[in-house]
Amino acid sequence: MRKLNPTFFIICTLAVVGIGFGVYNEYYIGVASLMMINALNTAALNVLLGYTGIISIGQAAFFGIGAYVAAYFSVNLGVPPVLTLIIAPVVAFAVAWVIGYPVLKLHGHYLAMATLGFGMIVYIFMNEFYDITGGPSGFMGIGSFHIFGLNFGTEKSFYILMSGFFLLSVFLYEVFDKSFLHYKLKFIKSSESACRSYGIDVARTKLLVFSSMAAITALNGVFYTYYTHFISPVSFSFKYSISLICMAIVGGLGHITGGIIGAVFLGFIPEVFATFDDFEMIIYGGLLAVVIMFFPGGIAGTLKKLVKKNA
Amino acid sequence: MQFLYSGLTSGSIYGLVALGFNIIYNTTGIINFAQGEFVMIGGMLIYTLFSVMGLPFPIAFFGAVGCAFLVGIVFERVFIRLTRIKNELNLITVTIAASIIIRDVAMHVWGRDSLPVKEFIPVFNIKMPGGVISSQSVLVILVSLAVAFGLNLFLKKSRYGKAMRASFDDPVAAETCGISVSTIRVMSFAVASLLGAVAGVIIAPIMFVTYDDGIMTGLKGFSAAILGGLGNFGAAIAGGLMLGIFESFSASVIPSGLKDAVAFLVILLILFVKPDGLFGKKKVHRV
Amino acid sequence: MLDINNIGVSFGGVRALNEVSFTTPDKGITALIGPNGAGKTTLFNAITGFVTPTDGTVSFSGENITGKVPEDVFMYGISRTFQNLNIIPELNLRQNMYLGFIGKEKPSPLKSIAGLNRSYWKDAEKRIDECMDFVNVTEYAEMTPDSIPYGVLKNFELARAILSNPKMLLLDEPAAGLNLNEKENLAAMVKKIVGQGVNILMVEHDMQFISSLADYVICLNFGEVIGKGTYKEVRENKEVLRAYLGDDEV
Repeated sequence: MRKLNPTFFIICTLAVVGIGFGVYNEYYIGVASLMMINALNTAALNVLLGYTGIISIGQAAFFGIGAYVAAYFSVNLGVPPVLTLIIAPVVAFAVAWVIGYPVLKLHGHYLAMATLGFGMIVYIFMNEFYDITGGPSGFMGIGSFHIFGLNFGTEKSFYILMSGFFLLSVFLYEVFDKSFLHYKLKFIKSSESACRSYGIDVARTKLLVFSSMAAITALNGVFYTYYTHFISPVSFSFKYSISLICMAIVGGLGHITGGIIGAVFLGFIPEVFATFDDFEMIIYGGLLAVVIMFFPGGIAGTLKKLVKKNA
Repeated sequence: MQFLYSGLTSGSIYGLVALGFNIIYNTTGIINFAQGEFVMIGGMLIYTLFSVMGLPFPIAFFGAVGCAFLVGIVFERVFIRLTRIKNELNLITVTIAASIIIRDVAMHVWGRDSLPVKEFIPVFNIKMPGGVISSQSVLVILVSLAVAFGLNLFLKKSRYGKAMRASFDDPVAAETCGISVSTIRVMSFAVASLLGAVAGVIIAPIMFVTYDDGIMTGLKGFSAAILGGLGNFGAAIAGGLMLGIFESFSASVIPSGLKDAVAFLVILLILFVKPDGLFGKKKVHRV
Repeated sequence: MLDINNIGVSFGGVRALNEVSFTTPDKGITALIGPNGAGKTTLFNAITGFVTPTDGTVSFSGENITGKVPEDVFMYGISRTFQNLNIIPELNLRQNMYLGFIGKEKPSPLKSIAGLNRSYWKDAEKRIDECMDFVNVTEYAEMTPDSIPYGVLKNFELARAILSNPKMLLLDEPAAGLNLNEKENLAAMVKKIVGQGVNILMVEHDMQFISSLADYVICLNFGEVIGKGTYKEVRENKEVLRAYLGDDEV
């Protein structure tokens, strides 16, 4: 294991604390909370795409599965939210394992299309099975997250809850980045055949990574649902999967900070360009195109290069 | 049997879209995630030229299709050619990015609403065994066949067409004979865009055109392409027709909202069971 | 050591390998030669499990390994290199070495993250240093591949391959793309590795390279064995000459 680099964690902590104490406008607190959720989803996608080379354009499905499972269990079955934090990821893990078993045998555009197809199917199911999900009109009346009598119903309190989870995740991702698992995955991305001839069970490793990231994404979905109190399929469509890809690539694939940087950077755009709200997608698409075409390392990668040059 | 006729109609469209995928994939190895947007553009252009500006149909048609041809050229020159590192992930992503941009531009130009396009020919129903087929549907099927036939002629007789076929078979040998990869690539995107636009034009009167139609159309066209197999063009048309008929048939037995899921289930099934498609050539992978 | 018994491989209608049989000596270097397309890489793939033979068996030190997946074949002590170097450009040479043992020892990732297994990793790093030193690439350890000469990278492949202490090494065209100096260097490395008791089977085209190294040579053509023996014997084999030079020249 290599030494952990605390820099990014410190930056994130300062930012989170700074926003927590310095920002009074509840709307912006909410934006920050959502940004953290997106950042963690993007970080998970980064592990899949940037480290292991698994092109998954259906991550929104797992986000939605997490949200709907939590909503269903807490509202319809009266399960305490804490338990849904466990149930939802487990369900997502299982679904991902079953789907992943055949899907991960594919590569390149076949894999991309298969994950896209899977995401679409889940989306269509969310719309169709309205007895369970509420259909296109959505699932209403989801409570707040509460534990040990503490209720995280306000913007501020949810922000604190989310911040804790966010910082913990940043730490764990850093641990991952400095572990040998990091190398194992990158070797798999580079050449599965070479890995197999060196004794690595590539199929099983990919399945574990895919399912774990699905579980993490579902966990984010659980937080999301206790924040918005109302979920509908629109939030879990192909468009969200694509925006995750955008954030991951713009942030920088293969660099552990990339996912979070990308989500924050792209998360600012609709806020900064509030009047240009309609041009959000063009900016997303344009940034993605520019990064892919000229700066494949994304923000994180380009920064690293600059640091190296001046070192 | 009614499903057969509606299936043939939608299937013809899927077939044209699948042809577009095939052309680009066979010449460049790229899967163009923006293929569906070319269809959408065709529909939008015919709306503007025919319904709004009131141009006579033949002029509007060639205008729309010609514009789309240019769009294809610009698309390749900007998004593909300028991409520094042309590996699979990058090319997939850049076409995704392009599709986002095209879609959003369309939204700004034409708005979010579904736009109606008037029929090109008088609408009447023709009685067929087991159901009826509308004149519009017949037009769709005939035009698709004509286009497929025309494409076949182009590939067999014209200079560019032969050059493209040489590139399909053996890109390296073709380059050695002086066929420039760059030119072939531009041509294939232009032709694919043209095919997509034709599909968009002929289906426009039947289904209103909306700026985000492209996603579904593209995915279903891709499903058809995979079903037939990315190897040859007859397979694309066959795949499209099969998908269209199967989808129509399913709509009559399962809740109609799930109809769209059929195409995606087909994608998954084919990729698991026979990734080279029903008629595709098997690919040898070097370890 | 490696016993290939009547191996046949068919891809659809193509018979890539047919009734291929030979046994490598317990010590030393065996060379696998033959014109392009003869089936040499297919044979490697059949041995290492990337391709399942349609007939015949592969045995290693008496154990039947036919049809086993590559991950398992590795655990029997067979290491393999590929024609194209599988080196990650963003990592330096030392980090690229890690591939060589991640699969073999399978340390529990959770334990590693928790900071246990410290002695395991220390030993692993020591072994990496040893192997790099063995093939003389230590000075390049902290550099990334783009600044390293091709010949050195080829030696690095050897270092990585012996990391797991294999009993047998399968080398796929190790000398390809090297100049004369680099080839001599490589030959010396290969001899050194054999001296440590590792058995080697290599596919090669360079006859001179083989002549200085091979104890046993097998020649394939069109998927069949057309000659086997010492370098000298195979060199003079009429069938082999015909395969390489064509009928007129023989």
